[in-house]
Amino acid sequence: MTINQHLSEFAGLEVTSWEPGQSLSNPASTVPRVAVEYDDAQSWTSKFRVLLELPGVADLQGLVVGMSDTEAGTDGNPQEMIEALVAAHAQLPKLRALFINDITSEENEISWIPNDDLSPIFAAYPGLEHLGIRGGNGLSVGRLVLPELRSLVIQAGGLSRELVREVMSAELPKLEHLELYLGTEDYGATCTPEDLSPILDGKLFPALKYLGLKNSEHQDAIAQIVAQAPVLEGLETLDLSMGILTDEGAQALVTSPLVAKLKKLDVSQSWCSDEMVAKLKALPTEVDASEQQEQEEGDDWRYVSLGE
Amino acid sequence: MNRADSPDILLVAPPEGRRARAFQDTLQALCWPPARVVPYLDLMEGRAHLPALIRPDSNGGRGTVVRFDSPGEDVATELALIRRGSSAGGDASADLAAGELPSTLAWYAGFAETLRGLDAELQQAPSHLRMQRTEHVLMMFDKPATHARLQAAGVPVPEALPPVTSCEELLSAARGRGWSRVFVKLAYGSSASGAVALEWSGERVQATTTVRQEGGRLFNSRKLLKLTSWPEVDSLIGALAPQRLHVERWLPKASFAGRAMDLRVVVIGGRADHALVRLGRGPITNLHLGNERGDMGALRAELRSERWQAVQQTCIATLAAFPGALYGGVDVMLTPGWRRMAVLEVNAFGDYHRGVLSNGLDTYAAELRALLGAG
Repeated sequence: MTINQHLSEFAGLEVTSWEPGQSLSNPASTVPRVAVEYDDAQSWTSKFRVLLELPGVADLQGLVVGMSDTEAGTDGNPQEMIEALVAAHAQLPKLRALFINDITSEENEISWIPNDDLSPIFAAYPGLEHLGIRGGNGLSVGRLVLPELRSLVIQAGGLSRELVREVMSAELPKLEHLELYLGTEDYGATCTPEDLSPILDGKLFPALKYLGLKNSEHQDAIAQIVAQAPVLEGLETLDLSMGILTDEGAQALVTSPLVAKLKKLDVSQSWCSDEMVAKLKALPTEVDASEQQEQEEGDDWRYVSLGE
Repeated sequence: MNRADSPDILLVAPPEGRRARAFQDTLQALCWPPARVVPYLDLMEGRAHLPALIRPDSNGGRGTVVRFDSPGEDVATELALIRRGSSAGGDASADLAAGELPSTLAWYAGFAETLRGLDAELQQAPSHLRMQRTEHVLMMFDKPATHARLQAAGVPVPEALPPVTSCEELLSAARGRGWSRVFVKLAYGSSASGAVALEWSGERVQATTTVRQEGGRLFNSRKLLKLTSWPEVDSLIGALAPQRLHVERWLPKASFAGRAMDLRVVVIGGRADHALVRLGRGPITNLHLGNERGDMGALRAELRSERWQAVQQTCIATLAAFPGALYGGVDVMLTPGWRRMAVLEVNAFGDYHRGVLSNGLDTYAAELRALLGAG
């Protein structure tokens, strides 16, 4: 799998592509996507400056940042984009939804997207309720304190141990939805299942309803650890999809009384056998076990859904 | 209907192929008699002669309609073409049934010699109608020539590199232009055969390809393969280079229904009404690689009429660069946000798309109407 489509919706709001020359049609309910493309005559920051001068900009609820560099690859520098966002905070007083790097694989491979320390942005927008980030290279969220944050999604080919530890020590008292695409070593993952320990007792994010620890090459170990963890007691949905989840890890899920009490379990795009899928579907829980992948004969490797 | 008016069509194609069958199905639906099919092999080996097959009285005195279709998907025909062109270089002993990539230089040389020979025979034949011009077909099968022709005609195309003969040359030329992503195609490759989507950044490289290297030989793969080390990439490009490469900048494709998208538009008689959406999971969207057709109606609604008309105009301009061409299959892409478009390929036999209708006519029926007038 690759990410092939830009966001059409974010935080329950419609996302529309915006270019200089266009007005803000409905700033309270639509989210502009500001991006450059290859060979773009204008830089991201110059487009963003035009946006900030538009009538209605103070009503903007959300912003999606697309490609901020005109050429694909790992060499781009997101620093100017970050600084421009930070500097604009007074002009965007109502901003509560922010997505950084809405970039498709046609534009740049997810594991190549250059990222950086984004903590200055979060300090400038303490009212953020929804935060999405794509790309794990060089990514840091620093000491993450966002008292209003409801959802946090970080998509990457691989997340570093440092980044996972930052999330595991974040102060997000209202966080309801967390998704981490943990990834593989090939694409920069250095985190291990043990790095997820702080989340297990359910005290770190007491409001959590949706937990996605997904797209991991250690998905079996994660399933085994999470299956017995008190954090499940408060959850509605557990999302362990897209990783190398085999019958070994899934067995821990089908035998867990905590998993049986969930509203929903997502193990789609995994590597479970038909027999295991039948067992999963027999759980008194809504189970998404679609798109199980089959190992080819003579092939002894499996892969996570999102890499490259 | 008297004999002089009865439609008469001569189809040059492998007779058992799905394209020949599809064409006959269309004729049957039109309540026309089936086309007479003459295999390329019979013509190449002297068992049949085109002029003798022409009936000048048919089709209201305009003569037999002569249609050439793809010689592909028939191993014996392909091998005969490769043998005929083998003086152009390359090994003519490829195991086509196993998916081995033949010498496309030899294939093209053999195909060109065959078509030109048949063309010369038809020049001496009684009056007849052609569905293709030989020089158009041959140029459409020559990617660098087609690219140059379209560029000169002002049709938007991705920028291309001058000829390169190795991975090193390719990288140096691409880097000199500030590019980090290219499509490497065989100059005479058909569909995705021999195609490589190549991207690099710093020390990293990734090649997505349909070509598998095995013990010095090249095979087509139905699965997309990924190479992520420089030695592998260097070896693959080096192995493809003797076939003559055409390298274009890889422009990001717009997405639709969650997939990377491009369009195949069959332009017929100056109209661009037969279109289908191709959706891919990876950078190569050819339909036979496990990719899918998308919902054309939904796409048109999303593009809105002005932008859809611009796409149609581009496709019409593409065919206009081949003056007198009755039809052609144009592959056209849009960049994200529908900002720009670019023509990727023109396919001489790109009209095999069943169920794609305009005013109730499929591609073949529309071509016949454009050629013969209403009726």
